[in-house]
Amino acid sequence: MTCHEVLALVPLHLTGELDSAQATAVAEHLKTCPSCRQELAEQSAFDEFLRRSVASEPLDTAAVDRRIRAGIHAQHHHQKPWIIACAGIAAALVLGIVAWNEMQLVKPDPLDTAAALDHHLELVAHQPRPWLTDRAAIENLAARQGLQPSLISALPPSGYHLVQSKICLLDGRWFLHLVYANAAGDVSVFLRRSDAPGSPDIHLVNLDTEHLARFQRGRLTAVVVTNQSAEAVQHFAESAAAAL
Amino acid sequence: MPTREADFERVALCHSRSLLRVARRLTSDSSSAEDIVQQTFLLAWRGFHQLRPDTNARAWLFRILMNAFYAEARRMRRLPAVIELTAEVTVSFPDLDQAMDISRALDSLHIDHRTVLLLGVVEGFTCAEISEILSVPIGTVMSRLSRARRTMRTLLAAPLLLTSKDPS
Repeated sequence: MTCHEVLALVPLHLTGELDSAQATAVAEHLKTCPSCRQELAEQSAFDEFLRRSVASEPLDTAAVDRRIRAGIHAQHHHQKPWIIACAGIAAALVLGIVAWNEMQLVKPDPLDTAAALDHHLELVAHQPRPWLTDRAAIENLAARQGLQPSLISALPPSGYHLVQSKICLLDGRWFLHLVYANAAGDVSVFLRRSDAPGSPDIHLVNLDTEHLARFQRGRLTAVVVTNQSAEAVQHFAESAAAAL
Repeated sequence: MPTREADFERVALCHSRSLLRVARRLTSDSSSAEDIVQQTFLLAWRGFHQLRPDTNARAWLFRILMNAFYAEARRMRRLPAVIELTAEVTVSFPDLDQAMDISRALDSLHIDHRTVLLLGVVEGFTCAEISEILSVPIGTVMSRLSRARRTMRTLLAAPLLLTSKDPS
């Protein structure tokens, strides 16, 4: 075995993953090659130094552990069988505002659950997050996600104002999280550019305490969440869908 | 506490420190790291019932973590700061105290090299496990590890770290 071949196997040697034939060949080579012995010793010493250095860095997991436990608890709560929002449907039918080919009540998918959970943790449980509140900064953030900054003003129905924004991770994908408010409370809007166009239908989902609407316009995916009411989320989603 | 939550604490949540440590090193940002780790555990919780008893739970969690991290990288439409340095770069420091600190040296590594170094050296995964976590061939893991070690040792003036010149 040559020096080159031995050095190529060093990663497996250091993790004890060589098979017996390779281990024997490497050991034979090391007996007669001071240069490879030196290299191996230096790599082992470096590994130990790196391991100790990184492991000794201060790391407080208490905050993130709390967030995880709260999230799991909330998700566990939300994983109960979905409940059809009879009141919401009845109200919508009475008002005659539901076009059933465009507005559908559906089961929550993973994105819905994640959005409802995010809204709950951040706007109901008020877990601290690094929010942006300056409109120019929020518009800049939107532009960096490939979104038109003008959408921020165009999305909400009248009576709502922009409160704050940040980026968040939902179901493995990143969304711009915009928060609007009126006298009745907060509304979260999660927006992202999609990989492919999807159904333009507005899907309504009611979880335990969160009311949610999900839809797509062109290559934009939007999820609207509020604790106000099924009517409020529908009203907001219609306005947002028209703007998109 | 319900059994499933207790099991999750015992099997998965006990690894939060390892995941946060790697996430912080990958993102260089505490807030993003915490978001990614939280997302990792929420996704893990969702799939926990499918985890077989013989599955390496720690490697499974790291695989979810890496997917979450790559999703972030795609969102940013760029990978985290990449400065490709080779072993041929000449870096000389009079002593270790003045050498580039370990943090900056790690941050300056190509993200693929930093990842395998963190998983292999710091977290103690084998090359085969890293290959599974990252979904890349084991040969790729080995070559990335070798290059990462070479670059780091160059940056840190590695010969100064060596206490024994020859173990024979």
